Amino acid sequence: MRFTKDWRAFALPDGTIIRRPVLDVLVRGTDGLLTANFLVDSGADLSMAPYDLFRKLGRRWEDGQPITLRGISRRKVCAIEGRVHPVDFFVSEVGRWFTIPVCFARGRVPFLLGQEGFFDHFIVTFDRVARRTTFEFREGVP
Amino acid sequence: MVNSKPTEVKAISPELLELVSPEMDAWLNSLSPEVLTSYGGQYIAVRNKEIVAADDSLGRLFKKLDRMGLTYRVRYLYIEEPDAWVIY
Repeated sequence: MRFTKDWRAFALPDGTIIRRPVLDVLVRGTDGLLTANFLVDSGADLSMAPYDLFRKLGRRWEDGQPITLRGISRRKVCAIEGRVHPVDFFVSEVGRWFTIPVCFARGRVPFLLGQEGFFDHFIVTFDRVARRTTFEFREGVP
Repeated sequence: MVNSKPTEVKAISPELLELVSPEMDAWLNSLSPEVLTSYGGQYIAVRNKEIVAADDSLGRLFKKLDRMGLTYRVRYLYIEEPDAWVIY
């Protein structure tokens, strides 16, 4: 089972458009399902999302695995704490739920779909020329 | 790290599926650079091919949508700031 997603358009300062690979999924919240728009990032070990989304999931922050996040700056003051929690994702194109570990953190945190728990189930092919991503679902992978 | 065995689901509401449909994708990709720039650095909520709310804080956007009764009935997106290159 496979599906293809066109890359999402974003603006650059000069008014031109840049396109990036994204995938929209449904996430199980306390009172229903929320849509979430993730950048597909094959270079990221883990998926990531903002703390504000976490607050909608009805979990206890303390129950997550603590993790330290650093960005471009290696300074200790720039490191922030994150917590990894399992999150249920529904991928409508294949009609399935996946439980994926997601690192949540406070601040301007991106929505990233990384390798752990997602790339195990899909062969992901990026076509920069066509600006589209193909996701091939690997049936039967535990 | 997590047992992520996928499970098949039959019933998701058509309203939700419409939010993540190819038609919605196409509409989002048709937004002009001017519109995208005007929402740069903000989280937006989209429904029926209309931006119904936006805020630079996802938490505040949720509160707005809670008041509107739309929290679970919109598509969320973060529009990257146009003056930043994404290097995640």
